[in-house]
Amino acid sequence: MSLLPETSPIDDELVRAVVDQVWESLLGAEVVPWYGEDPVAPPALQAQVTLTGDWNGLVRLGCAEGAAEGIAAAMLMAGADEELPPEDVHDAVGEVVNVVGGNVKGALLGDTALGLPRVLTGPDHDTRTVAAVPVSRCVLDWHGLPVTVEVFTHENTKECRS
Amino acid sequence: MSIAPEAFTFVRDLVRRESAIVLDPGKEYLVESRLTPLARHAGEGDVDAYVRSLQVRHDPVRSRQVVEALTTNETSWFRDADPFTALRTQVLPELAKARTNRQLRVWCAACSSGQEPYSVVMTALDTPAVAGWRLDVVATDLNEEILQRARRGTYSQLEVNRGLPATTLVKHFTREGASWRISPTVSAPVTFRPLNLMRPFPPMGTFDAVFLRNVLIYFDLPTKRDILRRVRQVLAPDGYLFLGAAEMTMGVDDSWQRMPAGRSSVYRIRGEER
Amino acid sequence: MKVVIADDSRVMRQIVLRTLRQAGFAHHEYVEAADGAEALERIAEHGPELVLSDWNMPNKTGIELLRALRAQGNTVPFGFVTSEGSPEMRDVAAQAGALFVIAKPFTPEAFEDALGAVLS
Repeated sequence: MSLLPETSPIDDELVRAVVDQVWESLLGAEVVPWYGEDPVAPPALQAQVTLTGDWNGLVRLGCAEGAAEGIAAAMLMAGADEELPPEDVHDAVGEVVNVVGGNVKGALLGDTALGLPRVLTGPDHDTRTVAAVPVSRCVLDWHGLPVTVEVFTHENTKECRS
Repeated sequence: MSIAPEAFTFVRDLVRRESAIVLDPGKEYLVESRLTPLARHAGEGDVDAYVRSLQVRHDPVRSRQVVEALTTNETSWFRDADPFTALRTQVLPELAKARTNRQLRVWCAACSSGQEPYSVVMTALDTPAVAGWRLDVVATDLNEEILQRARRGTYSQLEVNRGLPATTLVKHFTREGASWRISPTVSAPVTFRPLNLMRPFPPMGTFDAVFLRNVLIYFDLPTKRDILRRVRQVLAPDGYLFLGAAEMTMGVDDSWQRMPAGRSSVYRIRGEER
Repeated sequence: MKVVIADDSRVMRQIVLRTLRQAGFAHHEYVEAADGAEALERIAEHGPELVLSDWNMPNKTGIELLRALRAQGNTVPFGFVTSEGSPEMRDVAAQAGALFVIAKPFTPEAFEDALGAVLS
């Protein structure tokens, strides 16, 4: 059962404020909104973390591999010519979504647990979340590549776990 | 460590000469992190290059910026967390029981750029026991320039990242371009005015709580003693004094009684001194 | 001094280490652990003066790690570095014996304020 679904404290304004804080502190970067066409095709990479308990939902970050590599490099302050191993790239975007998720959770009343971040690529993409109710969505510009940050809620999170 | 030893020595000597503050070895990273924005702004490749430019040609403006960057203590919101928990769960509820006029007066005696007085107001707004009470926060600092900034109530993304949870941020601030402005609900109860703690206090009335955190450490013992004595005169007999985590009144002014408040301490005037 | 850093993200451990250096704590010895169970081993092995731990980790969460340490009679100063800094979490942490909670995303000042008393 969702807690206060009508007056969910999670909205675009809160999520954008969380994203601003994470970008500045973790990535040393300013948030640039995406003014290009809305990315409709599923992104190559999705990092997600679930929230379960009084409020059930999912925080998801989707982007192209190139954007994920850029985000990881910014977090690790790696040089432009430094190639990061894929596990570090996935670890980094997983942590971004984890920190966003933890801060989103901070806005919720009641007892809700944050899961561990998961990064999905290729065929094991989780598309079932489409059935869930979108709560917030923003698209950011990472050096010319779109990055979406979305929050979904569902009555029963089990449906969207793979 | 990436700052060169010569650069660190030069900066350390400059800061010690200009401010009497000593940067111990091991603070290299602090120097690097504080000077990186200056170096970037000056178009120098890195901190070493920036410091070298200062060594080559004396530049009073840049020198002052370096000293300021290393001596200005960047203030956090709800700094140290515990005193604000004590305020919300213990001090305000107790004062609420003792005050029938539904009014509270708080003095922040070294308010810097405003984070502390605004944190006090946000905490009071979050305390059901004093909901609807009239709150009056007097915030003072020696530095008029920093008071101007505090009055403006506008903070950069970096500044709001220091200790403000996103939920509190969107509740009490509005976005203004790349900055955040404090809401009138939080700023209205606060009055900023210049004050030198070393001199006799101007008439300010009586306070229910005084925040004198992380400021006594800068004074010698007789001055500390004198300031604490004069604070007693402006604090209500049943009022509360908040000091920094590493500070205490013991051995300085024994008219104070230390009381545990959650995981921190508050001070009250001893019964016989009231 | 020796400090154990427990976080299941290698990248986050790197960031914590970098921020500790920026906060002026470069001159300590840091030992990394990838989860709570490994942290328990490293702590037994190294006898650190401080433990910094994430909250959500596989194979023993941060709070389980802290409770296990206290159950063993180990009173090592312990602080959380976690993306969840709600008042409820802070209460749970304090009751279990944690000294502080640093919320992610953090700045060097958060480490300066929390660690100054322990590591200086």
